[in-house]
Amino acid sequence: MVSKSGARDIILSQIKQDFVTPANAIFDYLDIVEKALSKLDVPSDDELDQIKSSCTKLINQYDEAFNLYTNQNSSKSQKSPEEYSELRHNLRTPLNAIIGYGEILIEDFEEDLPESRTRRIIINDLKHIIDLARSTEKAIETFVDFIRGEDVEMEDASSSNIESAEALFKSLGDIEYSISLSDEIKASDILIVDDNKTNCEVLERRLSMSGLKSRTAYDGETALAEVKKKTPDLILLDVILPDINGLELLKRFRSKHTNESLPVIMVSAFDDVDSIAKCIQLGAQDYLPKPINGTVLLAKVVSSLERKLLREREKELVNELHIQATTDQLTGIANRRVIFDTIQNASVREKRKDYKPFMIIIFDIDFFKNVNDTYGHAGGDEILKSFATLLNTEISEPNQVGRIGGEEFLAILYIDEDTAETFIKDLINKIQKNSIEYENQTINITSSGGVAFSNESENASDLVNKADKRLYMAKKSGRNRFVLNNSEISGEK
Amino acid sequence: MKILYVEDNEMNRDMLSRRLSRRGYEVLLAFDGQAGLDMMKSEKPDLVLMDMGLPVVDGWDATTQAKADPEISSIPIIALTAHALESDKQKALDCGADDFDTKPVDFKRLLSKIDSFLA
Repeated sequence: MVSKSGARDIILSQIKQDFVTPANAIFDYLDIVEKALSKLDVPSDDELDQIKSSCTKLINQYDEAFNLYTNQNSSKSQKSPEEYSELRHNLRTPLNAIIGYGEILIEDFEEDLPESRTRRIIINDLKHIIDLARSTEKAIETFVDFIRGEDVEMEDASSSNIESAEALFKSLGDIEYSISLSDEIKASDILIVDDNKTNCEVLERRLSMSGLKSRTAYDGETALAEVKKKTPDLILLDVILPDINGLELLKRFRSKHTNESLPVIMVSAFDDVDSIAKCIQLGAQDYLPKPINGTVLLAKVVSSLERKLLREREKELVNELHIQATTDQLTGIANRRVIFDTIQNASVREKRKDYKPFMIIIFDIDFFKNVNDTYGHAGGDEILKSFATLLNTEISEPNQVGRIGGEEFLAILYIDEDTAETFIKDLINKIQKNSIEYENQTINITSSGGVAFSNESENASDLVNKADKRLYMAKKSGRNRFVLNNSEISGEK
Repeated sequence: MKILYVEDNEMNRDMLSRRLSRRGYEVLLAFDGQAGLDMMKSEKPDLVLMDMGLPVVDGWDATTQAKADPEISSIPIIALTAHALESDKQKALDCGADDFDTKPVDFKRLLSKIDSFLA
C-alpha cells in the first residue's frame, strides 16, 4: 500500500523536477552562450553573470522553501496567507531578473553584433532561457498551492514548453565548433535516456559541440528497444524515468551486457553518497550529478569511450596472441603444443567416467626432402599447406589434427579399432588423389603413418612412442602405408 | 518623463531601471515603501512602479497612504506583485493602485500600461 506520505513524496519530487530542470537548463544555455560569445571574441557580459546569480538565488530560495516545508511535518494551517505571499514573491523575484536581463542581452546583441549564424544561435539560446524561466512560473504556483494543502494535479511536464524548445532546436541546425577528438572516438554511438526532452537536447547539443553523435530515448521501453537495435558504446541514463526506473533499467542492461561491453553513466539530481554507491554497485561505470557541468560531462564521456576502445583493442590483441600461441603459422592448423595437450587430456580422461576410446595417428609425408629439392622451399610449403588442409577437413571436431614439426602431423580421433581401418583406407586414398598445383605443375604425394589405440597404454607419451615406432616400420617397409597395432594398410601403387 | 520605481531587490531594480532608461524615461529609485512615499513628495514623479513586497512599509500600505495624501494622490501607481490571482489584483486596486501587473514582468505590456498613463 502506498502511504499518504509516500504519495506526497512522489508529488514533491515531481514538483522539484519541474522546478529544478528548467533552472539547470538555464545554466546550461548560459554556458553555451558564453562559449559562442568567446568564439566571436566578444567579452562575456555582466548580464550573463546577473542571470547566473539570479538562477542560483532561485534554486536556493526553492531549496529553502522546500526544506522548510518537508521538515515542518506539514500541517497546512501552520502558515499564514502572508507567508505564502512572501514565498511566492521570493521565488518570482529572481525569475523577473532572469527574463529582464535576457531581454536586455537580446536587444544588445541585435544592435551590436553583426548578423551571423552564431549571433542567431546566441539569440535563440537567450530566448530559450527566457522561455525556461517562464515555464518555472507554473512550477512555483504548483509548489505554493501544494504546500498550502491544495490538491495538485500533475501534468506531464509542461508540454507547450517542450514543443517550443523542439522548434527552437530544429531552427538551430548543427553547431560547427568542436574540440579535437580522434575520429575513432567521434564515431562512437551514445544513447541518452531521459524523459525530459529539454535535458536530452541540451546533452545532445553539448556532445555535438565536440563532434560526438548521440541517440535519445525518452522512456525505459524505448531505451531497451534502442539497445536491442544496436548496442551503443555508452549510455547516459537518467535515474528517474516514467515507466521503468533508471536503476531497474541498469539491472536489465547488465543481465545481457557487462560493464565493459556496455558502459553506463548514471545521471541524477540525487547526489547523496548512498545513491551514487548503489548505482556503481549495480554496474554503472560512473555518475554525473545534475546540474550537469559541461566540462565534467565531456571528460567523463570521453574517458569512458576511450576506456572502451582500449579494452576492445586489448581484447583483439589477446585474441591474436592466443591464435599465435595455438596455431601453426604456416598451415593455420593446431600447433605441436595444442595437439599434445589434447592427447594428454584425453588419456587423463580415460581414467574418468566420460571415457571415450580414441586412436592417434602420426603422419609423415613420403620423400619430402626430394619434394623440397625439386620444387624449392616455397613448393614444399604449398604441399604442407595443402596436406594440412586435407587432414583438417577429414579430421573434424571433436577429432583434431596438428602439425608437430617439419612434414610430421599428429591426429587424435575418437573412433574404435573397427572403424579405424575403413577411415584410414579412405584417407590414404584421398591423400594420393589430392593434386597440388604449383607453378603450372601438378604434384601428388603419399604419406606414411603410425597408429596407436588408447587401450594400449594409459600414458600419453607411451602412446605417441608406439605410434612413432609404427610410423618407422611403415617407412621401412616401403612407405605409402599405415601400420596399426597388428595390421598394415597400404595405398595403391 | 519621470518614473519612480520602488523595489527592494537590487537585481530587479538595476534590470528594470536600465530597461526604462533605454526607452528614454528618467528613472528614480527607492528601496522601501517609506522612501518611496518620501520621494513621491519631494520629486513628484509622473508615475510610480510599486513593488508590493517591500520592507519597512510594504507596497500595499505605501499605496494606501499615497492615495490618502492629497499632495501626491494624483500620481498614478502601477502595482507590481508576484501574485497572479484575481483576488490580489482586486486587493491592489482596493488600495488605490491605478493599475496592476505581475512579476515576472512582461516588459512590452508594462510599457504600454506606462504609456497609457503618460500619454
